[in-house]
Amino acid sequence: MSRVGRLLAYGTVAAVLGAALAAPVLAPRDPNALGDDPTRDRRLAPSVQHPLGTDDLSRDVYGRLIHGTRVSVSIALIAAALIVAIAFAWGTTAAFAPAWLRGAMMIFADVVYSVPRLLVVLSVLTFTGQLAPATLAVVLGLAGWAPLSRILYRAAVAARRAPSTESAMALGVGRVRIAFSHVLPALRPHLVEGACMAVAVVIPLEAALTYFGIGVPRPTATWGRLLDDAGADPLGAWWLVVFPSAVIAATVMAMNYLASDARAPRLTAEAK
Amino acid sequence: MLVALLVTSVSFVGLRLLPGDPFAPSPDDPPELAHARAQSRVQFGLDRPISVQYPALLGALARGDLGHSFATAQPVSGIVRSAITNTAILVAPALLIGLALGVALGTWQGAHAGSVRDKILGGATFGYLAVPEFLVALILGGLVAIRWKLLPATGMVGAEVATAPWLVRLPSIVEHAVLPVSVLAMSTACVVARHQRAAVIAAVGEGFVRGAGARGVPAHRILWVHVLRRTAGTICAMAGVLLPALVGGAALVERVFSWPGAGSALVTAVAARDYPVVQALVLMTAVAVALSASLAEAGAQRLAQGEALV
Amino acid sequence: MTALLEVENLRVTYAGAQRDVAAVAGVSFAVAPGEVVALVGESGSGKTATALAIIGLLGESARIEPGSAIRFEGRDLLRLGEPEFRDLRGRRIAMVFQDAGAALNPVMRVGEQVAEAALVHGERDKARARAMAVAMLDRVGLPDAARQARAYPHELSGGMKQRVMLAIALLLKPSLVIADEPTSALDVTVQRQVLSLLLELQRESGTAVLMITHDLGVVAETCSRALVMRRGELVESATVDDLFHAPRHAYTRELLAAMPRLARPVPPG
Repeated sequence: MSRVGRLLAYGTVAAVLGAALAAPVLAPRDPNALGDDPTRDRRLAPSVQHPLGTDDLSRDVYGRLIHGTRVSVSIALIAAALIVAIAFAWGTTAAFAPAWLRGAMMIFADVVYSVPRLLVVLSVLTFTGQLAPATLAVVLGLAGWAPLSRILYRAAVAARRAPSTESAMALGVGRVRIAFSHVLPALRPHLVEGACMAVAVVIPLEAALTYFGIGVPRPTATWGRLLDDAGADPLGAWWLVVFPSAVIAATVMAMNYLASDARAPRLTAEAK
Repeated sequence: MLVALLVTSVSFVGLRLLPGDPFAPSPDDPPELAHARAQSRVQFGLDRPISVQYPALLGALARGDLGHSFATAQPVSGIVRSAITNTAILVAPALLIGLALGVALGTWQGAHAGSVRDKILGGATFGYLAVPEFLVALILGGLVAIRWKLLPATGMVGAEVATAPWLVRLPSIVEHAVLPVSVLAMSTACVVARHQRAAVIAAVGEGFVRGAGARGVPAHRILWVHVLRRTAGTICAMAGVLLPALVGGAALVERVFSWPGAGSALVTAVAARDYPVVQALVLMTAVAVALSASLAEAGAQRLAQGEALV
Repeated sequence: MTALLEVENLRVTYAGAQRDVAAVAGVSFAVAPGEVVALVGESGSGKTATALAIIGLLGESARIEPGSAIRFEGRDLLRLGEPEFRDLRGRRIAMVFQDAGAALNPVMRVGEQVAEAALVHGERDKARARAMAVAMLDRVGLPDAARQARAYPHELSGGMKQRVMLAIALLLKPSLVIADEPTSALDVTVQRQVLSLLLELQRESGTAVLMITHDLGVVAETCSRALVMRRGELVESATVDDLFHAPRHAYTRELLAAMPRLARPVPPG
């Protein structure tokens, strides 16, 4: 069971990444371009010409989905990279810092942690208005590093207290070396898990923000934008909702699966 | 209290550093709005150095003066108060229902771990949680309210009874709340079920199950009395962690159903760059969340008194 | 005299990761009413599996092979449905476990767990069940029983917890108590106290005891008859006197030789 699951998860990730990277090749037309005859081509069901149909403004859904994948994925990756980087730096520094600094650092992380991420992002967006995708990614990353930093901190402290590390320190091995050869391997599964979870969290968040009009500005295609494009009667044209939802859900599921797999490879099948 | 103070400080400092000045009047502001902005500017002391701004802000907050909205020039405290109450109407039942359902489901799953039904349920919760909550709200609302017209789609109360005394409004409010509460409760139930399943599996692995069996305690009592009590501490702790997520989710779900709660108000305010409202809402929500989280934590401590070694 | 418990050709197999393991390979013995019998063996000899088979608490990975029979008070336990078996457990057959701390629910008060034994076996009146529990806790020597009844397991010492286990086991005066290494987890001095308590209670109520242990010293002190098990088979069955002074099987002799000197019983005369 877990082998099939892993295959599916990796497959989904590959498909999504592939679409993101090869967007110009897979969908050469401008995703924001209107159809040939805007009034006639509105809300067309999927067909050979438009494999995923068209939206309210007669734009090709397939093209928008492919290009939207590129935008949404880049946002998720940038944000996740930022989250992992900051959490790693913060957590490991705190683990090796003197006691007073350690306490202060973790209290700060707790404060950032306790405000629901969404609220933080919303506050920032009030000030800045809508942002370009890359900047939005940075904001999402900055808002979400705290939970992972706690996990990495605890893991780093545990690794530091491990007997093998203590004997290495007693032998006079330098701190940096210890960090790399003893602490890093212990953190690796958490880092992978953290990265996967970060992506799994950022994607729905970006989708929500863009859907409500405070994320990526129109008309740029993202997964959330496609849902927004569905307009007031989303269920009237099922292809406008089903495809972006399916892609979002599949990616989030794959990421969740890979995250729990990173944590405990053999237990993944049971944990499901 | 400490958290609230820190949250204010951090948000203050953080936001001040951002580009963009929400107080700058925009060309299409009606005169009252420009006036409100200018007033807030003075009130927030943006024309004075930061070292003076911060105490001024604290002073204003201590007085309960949260300023005036940019968008409507109404006093913020009134807006915030009704917004938070409305959100509470959604969040409280959702939390309770979600917990009850999730605990029941998770306990059943834990007792039947590994069975076909357990795996199916596990897969279902996993899959359900992968779909963003606001999307579920959208789809559910679209189906039940718009297509099938079974329940109202938007708002908190029907127009016909909007001005009636609250007792008369109550059935209408309940009717409007069914969809949003269901969406929130379902996600909560899934999360709780997954955690509870693991907790039950762990508890069943402990020796006391066999001990109780040796006394002749029937299996269903072992599960629903002994094991459940054993997991009570975890459940309480879970509630504390669930709240921030629930409130965050509520914000979006409210928006989908146009329920006039804190989340909805927040999203609107953000779109309008209505800074005083945003700050007040964020602050109040964060404080409420922190408070309930520590309450849940305290509850968990008390329930875990039998677990000194755990 | 009709036997209280008759075990005939018991075979228990555990389903292993690669192969099935025969934990008990054809064991037969009988226990008379009021008798204190020891089931001796090292770990892995199958003694615990035998005990669990008798009380019907073998896990799902274990199988009782056909051809085995366990008769208690004339009834064939292996043919018993779960509800009837549950009725027997606690009321007619009780079990005392090695690790009382693990066998007690950490988040339930001790008195509640004792009273539960009565409540699940037909006692309707909660107050009466609680009174019975307190009386029993007092009987097993818990100081200030009424207050201790409200304590949680982790607040009690190992010896006290084991006394609680005895209280639970003997509350309803069962005819057979299976004690699985009841004192192995305790300090030596506490061991003696708990063992003498067990014997006292046994004499008072005429309960038969199947004492499972690897400690021959315990056997010498408490039991009248001993059954030696090794690798799933019963290799010797004798009175305790005969066992210590005229062991017939080589394995028994090995076990005796391994005992610390001081614990050996003195030959008569």
